[in-house]
This record gives sequence, C-alpha cells and structure tokens, in this order.
Amino acid sequence: MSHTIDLMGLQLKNPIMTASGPWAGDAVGIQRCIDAGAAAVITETISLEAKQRISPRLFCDDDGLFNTMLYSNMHLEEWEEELSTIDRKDAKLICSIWGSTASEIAYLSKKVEHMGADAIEISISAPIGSRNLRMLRHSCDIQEFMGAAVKAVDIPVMVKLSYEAASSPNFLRELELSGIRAVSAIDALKGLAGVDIENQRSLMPTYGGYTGQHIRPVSLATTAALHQYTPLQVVSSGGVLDHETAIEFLMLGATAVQLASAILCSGYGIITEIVRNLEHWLTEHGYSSVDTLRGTALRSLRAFEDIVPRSLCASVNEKCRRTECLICAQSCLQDAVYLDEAGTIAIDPDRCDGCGLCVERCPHGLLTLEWR
Amino acid sequence: MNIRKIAELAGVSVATVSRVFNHPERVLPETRDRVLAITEEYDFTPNWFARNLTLGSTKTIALLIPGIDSDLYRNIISGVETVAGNKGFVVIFCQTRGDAEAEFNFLKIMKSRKVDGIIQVRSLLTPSMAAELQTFNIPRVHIGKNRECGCEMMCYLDYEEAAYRLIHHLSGLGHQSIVLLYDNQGDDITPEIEAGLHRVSRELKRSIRFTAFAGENSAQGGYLAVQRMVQNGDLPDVLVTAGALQAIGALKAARDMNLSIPGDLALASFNDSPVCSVVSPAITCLEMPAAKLGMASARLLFDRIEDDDQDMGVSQEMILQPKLKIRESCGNTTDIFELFD
Repeated sequence: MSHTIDLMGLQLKNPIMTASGPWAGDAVGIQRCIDAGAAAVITETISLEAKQRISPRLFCDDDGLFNTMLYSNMHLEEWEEELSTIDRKDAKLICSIWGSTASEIAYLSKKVEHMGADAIEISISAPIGSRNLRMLRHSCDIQEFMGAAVKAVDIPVMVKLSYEAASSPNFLRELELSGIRAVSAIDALKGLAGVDIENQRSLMPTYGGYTGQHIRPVSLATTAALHQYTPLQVVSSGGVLDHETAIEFLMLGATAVQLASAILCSGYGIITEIVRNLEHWLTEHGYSSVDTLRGTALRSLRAFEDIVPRSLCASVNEKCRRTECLICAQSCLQDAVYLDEAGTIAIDPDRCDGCGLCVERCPHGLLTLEWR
Repeated sequence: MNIRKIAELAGVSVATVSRVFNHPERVLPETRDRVLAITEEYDFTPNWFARNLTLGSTKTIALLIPGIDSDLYRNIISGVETVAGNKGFVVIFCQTRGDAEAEFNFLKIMKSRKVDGIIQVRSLLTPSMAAELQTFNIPRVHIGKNRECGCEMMCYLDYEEAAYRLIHHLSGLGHQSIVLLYDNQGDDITPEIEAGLHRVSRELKRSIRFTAFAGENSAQGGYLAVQRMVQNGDLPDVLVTAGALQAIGALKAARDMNLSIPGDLALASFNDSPVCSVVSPAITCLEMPAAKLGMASARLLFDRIEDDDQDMGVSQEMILQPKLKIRESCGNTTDIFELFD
C-alpha cells in the first residue's frame, strides 16, 4: 500500500516532513533526516547574511521548548557545498529562506533553485527578533514579496506562517494572489519562560519561540481554520509528537505535517518511529491512502452559533466517598456538587447548569452528563 | 627551478606536472606523489602569474571604495572579503577618496592586472568615463543607487523606506521640525529623507518642517552643528545626523551647553554604531545592513564570474532594508521598544 501524497505538485512518499530548524542545519543533519525516513526535509533558514548564534539559545519549561534562533549561521557558499554532498534518495529537499526585501527574496529563491532545491519555504514570521510585526502591519507588501520569489523560480513556493498571520483571512488572500502553492503553520509562538521573581529578572534574555506539545491545540485549531480561509494546501507544524498527533492534523485537513521539537527532544529516530507507526495505523484501520483520511474530522466541527443548546445535567454513576479528592466540587461554580449527609458526592439538579467541567475533571470517570 | 625541470626530474610531461597542481584528482596517485616529492625537495611553487594566464582567471577581484573611515565602509569591505574568501579569491583594495579621476585610473589598472571582477562603491564616474569602459568586458557591480557608472549589476540600501520609518517614529512622538546633518564627503541622502518625510506627512496629515545642511562626518562635525544651531537660535525638535560619530559629537555639545537630550533636542542617527547603545541617553539609529550589502554585491559578482551565461532570471538590482533601532534619544520611554520590535 502506498502512502504517497501530493504537495504542491511534488510526490512525497509519506506525509511526514521535518520542519526548518537546527536538526537540518547542515548536510549531516539533513542526511540523518532523510535516512530516518522523512518524505521531505526543510533546511534551516538560509539568508544572505549568516547570523551568529547566541548561547544559551534553547530553553525548557517542563515539556515546552523555547528557542532564540533566527536563522542559519552558515554562509550561502557553505550551503551550496553542503547541499551538493547529500544523497537525497527518494526524499524531497526544501530550502527555507528569509530576506527583508523583494529583491533579496527573489535572489535567494533563484540561488537555492540553482543549488537543487525541490521547493522553497519562505520564513516570514519567526517570533524572534523584530520581523514579525513588520510583515503583518504592512500586509500590502506581502504579495510583492512572495510574488518576487514565485516569479523568480520554476519550483513551487510555500510560506511558513505564525499563528497571527494564519489567523488573518486578508493576509491569506494576499498570499494566495501572490502565486504561492501552500502554507505551513504554525511557526513558534512568541514566549517567555518565566520570571525569576526573587531577582526581578526574565528567565530568558529576549523573546523566544515557544514550541512543542503545549502549542498543539493552537496549531490544531489553525489547521482547521486555514481550511475555511484559503484553498492553499496546509502543512501543519506545532506539537506533532507521534503518529497519532500527526493523524489528528491530517484529519483536520493537513496535507502533510512537519516535525520539529519532537526531533530535538527524542532524536532523529523519532522520524522513523512516526513514519512506521503511521503506516501501521493506516493499514490496521483500513485506510487505502492518506487522501481518504484527510479532512475527515472537519465535518464534526461546526460554528459555535450552530450548536443547539442541550438540556443536560451532571450525574454520578457510582457512589463516591473520596472526601480527600473533591475535584468535582471544587470545579463547580454553581455549588451544585456537594457531599450529602451520607458523605457521598451528590448533584443538585436545580443548581447544575450542565457546564461539564466536573465530568471532564473527575480522575475516576464517575460523572457523566445526562439529558434532564 | 621551473616546471620543465620538475617534469624532467620526475620523468613526466610538463602537462602532468601542471595537472598535479591544478587537478590532482586526475593524476595517478604514484605519479602525483613522485612529482610532489620533487617539488618539495627543490622548494618549488608554481609561478602564480604564468599559471593564471593559462587558466584565464587570477582569482582576484577589485574593490573600489571611497574610504575606510566609516563603519559603513568597513562593514562593506568585511562583507565583500568574506564572500571572496569563501570563493577562494583575494580582494585588491583601492581607495578612491571620492575622486572620479582616481576611480577611473584604478579601473584601468585593475583591467591590466586581469582581475576577474570589480565592485565599485559609490562611484563618481561621469557618463563619458562610463562610455569609455563599455568595451571593458569585466563583470562589475555597483554598491549604491547609481545607474550612470556603467555597472550591469547594482546593490543598494533603501534609504527612503529607512527615512520613512525613522520620521514616522519621530512624528509619533510629537516632533514637528527636523534638521538633517548630512556628510559633506558622503552620499547626500536629503532627497530620500524628503521623500520619506512626505510619505509620513501624507499618511499622518501633519506638516513637518525640514532643513538640511552638510558637515564633516566626525564627532567634531556633530559638535559644531549643535553649536551653530544654538548660536543661530533655531534649535529644531530633532537633529538627525548622517553618521553615528556626528551624533556622539552632538551629544557632547548638548552636555556642554546644558541642553537636555531628548528634552530640549531629540537626536537620531542615520547610521548605527556600537557606541550608540553605550552612551546615555542611548541613541536611536537606523542599522544599515552594510556587511550584508558587501556580501550580496560580491555574490552578484561571483554569479557572473563563475557562469557568464548564468542568467539569474531576476533583476540585477538588489535592494536591502535598514532596520530602525528605537532607543532613548528621541523621547521613547518604553523598554519594549528597545527590543526593536
């Protein structure tokens, strides 16, 4: 069974790509992504001026990751050399680029096309440094910028979007008119790890890009919303951790997904694991292709206004005397959940307004919502 | 010792010795080792000039630049040299001192030295000089906005957009009159600044008074400018200097004359320098991507040198964008602006 997909006219052997980032910062890293089975590898962002890296540049907060890396520290000439040594096998190579003017973007596009890129991803909205707001505030420039790349090359061009950019229908319309073929979303969110309150200091010296599993809900919603806003193909990134989360994105309409933090935290082997598990899952569940699964969860989503209010009330399904727990009672703003005289959890149906929080939070699954 | 004798001693042809130096991968390893052993024994290095006459490339480019005394020029030089180094080329450096005649002569000398390409910074060539260079047949890139010097490729900074961003910021802080101190030896950026200013006026529907005068691009020049304005009794809301050193001089003059910056006079510089973030108040500047400008122009040049037919298919003009660095010297009090967002 084949799990090939079509992305911007490119045949990818599976829907698992690696995002632009330090894991693809040179030939060795890119080769490891390819060897691990990624269908397409996106290089770390190539610019006209290599940027020095700050140290430290990666920060952690439980399972969340923050990075303060803008783009590659390799010169264009070094990239040319590196890319020429890669054995691409059956993977596609996509070059991520960034430039501050239309002519700069056009030049870099042409350059990476000469260097053998199969496609281009333009990074416009990494939340590090000061380019994010600029692009959004001047959205009239975006068509000119992206159009310059599209006109300069014969290979397909996609654009990586921040959450903010991906949430603006007007911005997406401009992108569509520029001739790009796909968008990837979301880029890292702008974040700070916290404040050392004893010393009145931010834990990070500057804003970082917040990535990883905690941004997955935002990314899932963006994937679904992009489907309403634009006919462009969507490549999802932000919290793709395993094959199941990858399937979530595909079911919400993603053409493919990009791995990022997962590689930083688990190594290149995670790519192989996700590709293998995804194939296994698809076969096991009888999907003949990725296309037959794509977007299937979208029909279960509807506009908030279209959801008909149902008259539901919480109910306890078995006697609960865990007086040390009481999470359900703490979760009730209406004081509808209480301990009765016998010391068991009870619900006052006159007070309960059916919000469902006690049901969601009960660690033992003892509560459900029932029709009144 | 010459290549013929080496060939004789090694018992191979002259062509083989030549291949050992230029394409060692095409020579049998044992032959290569024998030739290299002999060259080492006799301390022989190939004649650089003779070699390059044969190969048709001297692996040199020339950089014609008005001076080395500004951060902008230093960073351009550094950018050009970095890319040339990546390509295995050396850079011949010619200081034109803003003299068209000197520039023209350097170009002729560089042609006779058979450089592979030339980068001209802020060229002053007249159209008739440029016409004389028509048959030059050496790839040339110009750094600066000048279509008359006969260079087929051009790379420059978008001063108008830069001025727009700076003046938009100044206007937002309520400033209504601006004096520009431009560099009497450098580009007259007045037209671009005026264009940016008009855009701001139109957008914000505010009139901004603007005058400009020239001064030396030094701390001295900045000092004298403030002194002159104070003594003439026409202190504007903002002084914008072309160079960072001028801004430092203006800061000193203000201190000597008990003027508060930004209270009595706001101060901004059209070029950034590391000192601008160190002084107090820190000076609001435009950061010019000069190193990137040098790198970009060198890349345009090498694209042409390496492949004559390589039509990049895009315009041979590259425009780069300066960045506004909002600090304290114009009245900004928000810390967050200092993160340049």
